[in-house]
Amino acid sequence: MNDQNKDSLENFFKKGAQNYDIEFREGDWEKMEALLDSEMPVAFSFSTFLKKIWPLVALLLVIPLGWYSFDRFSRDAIPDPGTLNQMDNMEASPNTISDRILEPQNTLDQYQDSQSIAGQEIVSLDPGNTKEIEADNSSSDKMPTISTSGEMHENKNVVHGNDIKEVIQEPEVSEGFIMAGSNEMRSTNSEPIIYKIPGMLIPVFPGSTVGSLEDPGRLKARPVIDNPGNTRHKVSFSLGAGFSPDFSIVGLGNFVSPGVRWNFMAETGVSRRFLINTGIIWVKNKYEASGEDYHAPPRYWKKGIAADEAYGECVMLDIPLNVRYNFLITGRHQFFVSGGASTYILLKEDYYFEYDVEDPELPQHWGTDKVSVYPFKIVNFSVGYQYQLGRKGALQVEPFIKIPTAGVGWGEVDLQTLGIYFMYKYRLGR
Amino acid sequence: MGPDQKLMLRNLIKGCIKNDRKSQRDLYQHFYAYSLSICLRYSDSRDEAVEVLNEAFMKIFKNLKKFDLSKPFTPWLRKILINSCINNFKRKRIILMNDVLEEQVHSSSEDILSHISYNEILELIRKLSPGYRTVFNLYVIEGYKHEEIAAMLNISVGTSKSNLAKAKKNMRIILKEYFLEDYERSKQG
Repeated sequence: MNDQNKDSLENFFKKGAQNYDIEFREGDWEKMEALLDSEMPVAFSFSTFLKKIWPLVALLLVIPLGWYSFDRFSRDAIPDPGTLNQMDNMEASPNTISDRILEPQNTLDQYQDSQSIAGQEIVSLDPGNTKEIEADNSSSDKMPTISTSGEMHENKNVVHGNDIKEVIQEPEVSEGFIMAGSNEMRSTNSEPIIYKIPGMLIPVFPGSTVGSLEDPGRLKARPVIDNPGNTRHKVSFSLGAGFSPDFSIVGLGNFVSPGVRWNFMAETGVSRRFLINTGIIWVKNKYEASGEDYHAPPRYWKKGIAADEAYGECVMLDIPLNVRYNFLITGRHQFFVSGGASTYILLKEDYYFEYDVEDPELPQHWGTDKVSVYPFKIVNFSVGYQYQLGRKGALQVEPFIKIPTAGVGWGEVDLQTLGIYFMYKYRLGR
Repeated sequence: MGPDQKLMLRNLIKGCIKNDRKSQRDLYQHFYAYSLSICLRYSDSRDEAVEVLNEAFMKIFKNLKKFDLSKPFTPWLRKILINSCINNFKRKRIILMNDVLEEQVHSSSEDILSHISYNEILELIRKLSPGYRTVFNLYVIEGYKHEEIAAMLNISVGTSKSNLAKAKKNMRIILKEYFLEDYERSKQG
């Protein structure tokens, strides 16, 4: 065979071998993935973790929000006070009002928390509130006596039989409302009854008692408030302490190992639903940043070789200022969202570097104890659940995320943090 | 490769170093056709080629940290692929020691089209015995020298040259048969 034939044979195969047209087969990758899983199992990835848990987080948000929306919808279906007035002259069946206004299983205590009917403040039997209603047992042949003067009567057994102007749902006095002789207003019907006196509505629930003369302090009510915006709320003040694991990442990187957050907080309630909180959080966190995400000062890197990876360990104080909104309050349970900003005060920074190339002259570590402050550079967002233990104590679980608006630390990294606070809170004062 | 592709590849490699499955999958998919085209030439079947391909990629994923990002990736990948093919050949060599060319030549019942496609090239190469095929691939297609092939396969340079000469001789017979069959088919058609 001559050289020409020899070359043509080689060229024939060489060229032919380049013209491949092979389609990707998913099955081949699955085999590859199985191999990888057996020999190189994936370590815990924060981004993967987030992808996996987001449906759960969404569910946690949707359920209470849905519940809240349903609750609001149900309340919106209740007639306004004007409608209630129209009902004064009609002979309502016992079920009419109760079905539309009050659930039979409600107790009076629960009603104390229920201030709003049709968006209007109607009745609040708040122990801390002002006006006192007193029943009188000295007049047995009249309607119950209720004074709305706001004054405390030294003699609790004063007759003011004419003070009751209207009874929305007129009860059978002998069955539904026992006044004289028993020193109390009582609903003995199977349905709740609402009494209306000038400026207020008073609910009386099945089997419950209002205004026992032995316990006059129980009969306290708030006047009807035409404009809910004028509602006066007693400002509450709480202190709390708790902790959280700290999962800090830079960009979409994986977290190294969890740090810790010790949280000492103070909270004040400007209304029943809105609260403001601040505090001091001692933080120790660990994270890794790739070379592109780590911005050391210019000319720091020797020979122009930047680190491929930087591992950071920092101690800092986190001073948050957040606004909390209780979007659902039911019994002892509160669900809330919270947002605000944090100031970071870095107390200690340590960074360890890794390079693509091996060169002992390249810097391996940088650290400082110099304090640096990043005022309100971090945006906070959280959702949470609070369980009231008693009158003062409460437990709170609060998953949170912190997103930086500027680089933090010597490497100016975009340090994102996730975690979940477990906290005990104690309300000060009454 | 443009700057965008280089950046993409660099990011993929970094993701693979972190053992990120998505990056690994993207890198695998990106080089799948190229890599499999090499493995297919050294293997008897597609399944075997995929097995070798995955074995090679496992080596790649495990050793990516050692890869110098300032250097081109494809030659490094190619070298690992060919090494994997050769290792596979060495494993099979004992079993296939008694293979004869004639058995390979007459075993095919594959339809031959009227023009040469990549798959036909592949089939023709596969008709060579594994020993000849490996030397043929390394020398003719990959462009290695006999000294390099000898070192890779642990054979002498003379054996490499001899195997290549025999591979080519057999390939001519295979081609002659292929064209004859093709000619007969066209006459019948």
